[in-house]
Amino acid sequence: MDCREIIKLISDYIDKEIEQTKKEILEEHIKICKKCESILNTTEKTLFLSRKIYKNKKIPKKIEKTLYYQIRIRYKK
Amino acid sequence: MNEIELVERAKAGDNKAFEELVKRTQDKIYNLGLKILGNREDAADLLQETYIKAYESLQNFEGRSSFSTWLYRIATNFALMKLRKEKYKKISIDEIKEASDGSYKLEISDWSNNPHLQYKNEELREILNEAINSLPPKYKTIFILHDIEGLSLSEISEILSLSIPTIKTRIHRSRLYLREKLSEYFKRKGN
Repeated sequence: MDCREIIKLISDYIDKEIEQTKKEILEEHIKICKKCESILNTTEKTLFLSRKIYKNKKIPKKIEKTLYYQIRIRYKK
Repeated sequence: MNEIELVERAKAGDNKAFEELVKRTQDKIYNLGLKILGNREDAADLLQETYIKAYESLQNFEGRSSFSTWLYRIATNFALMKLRKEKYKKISIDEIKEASDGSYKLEISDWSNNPHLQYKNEELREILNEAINSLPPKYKTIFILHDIEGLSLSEISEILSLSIPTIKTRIHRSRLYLREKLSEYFKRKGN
């Protein structure tokens, strides 16, 4: 497999959606290919950072109040 | 009471049961809205529209998927509609394809141990945030659902009625595109 094909497998590898044989090929490849190794490492870091920039928040009281108001006025009498 | 029982009761006209379903899922839906749409006003709209639609079409919910998957479906459809109207400059599908296929010269320097690589680095967060916001709507939605919210491929497939290979391709391209944007940043910083 060449680098182009290896790069195509990177996401499946990260998600553990990869077949065993392909996984082994990829792991062997990155041992000898700096380029693919760095693409894998930096893709993983990109995901790590992406998760860090989003934080779960509680619904502000005002928004929650409006939500229930909007639902209740639709209740069938 | 479990979700299925609550749905049954709500369908039979028990509004308290419906409100309990709202209570159990509202934080998830609100946060999904915040992440995809990026601000409180739009997230509040998404929240309201999702539950109003859910209430009004409750009789059509047949329970083939879970109630929360069904809600996600309503919410993502609303988000997609909103994103398509947004003025935020989006990259083209071709650009994102380029970033992940061999015709594009991938930036290969390894910055995974760069000292600037800290999530507290405001500049870096800004660049990443901007790059995520510039993803075409159908890529951004999947990226958030999978890589941020942690939904499985099969859940996303149910929510968006798309095949798993299509979802995988979009996730892969989004990731490589975002990686490329960060690589450019580190290159400017002199890695």
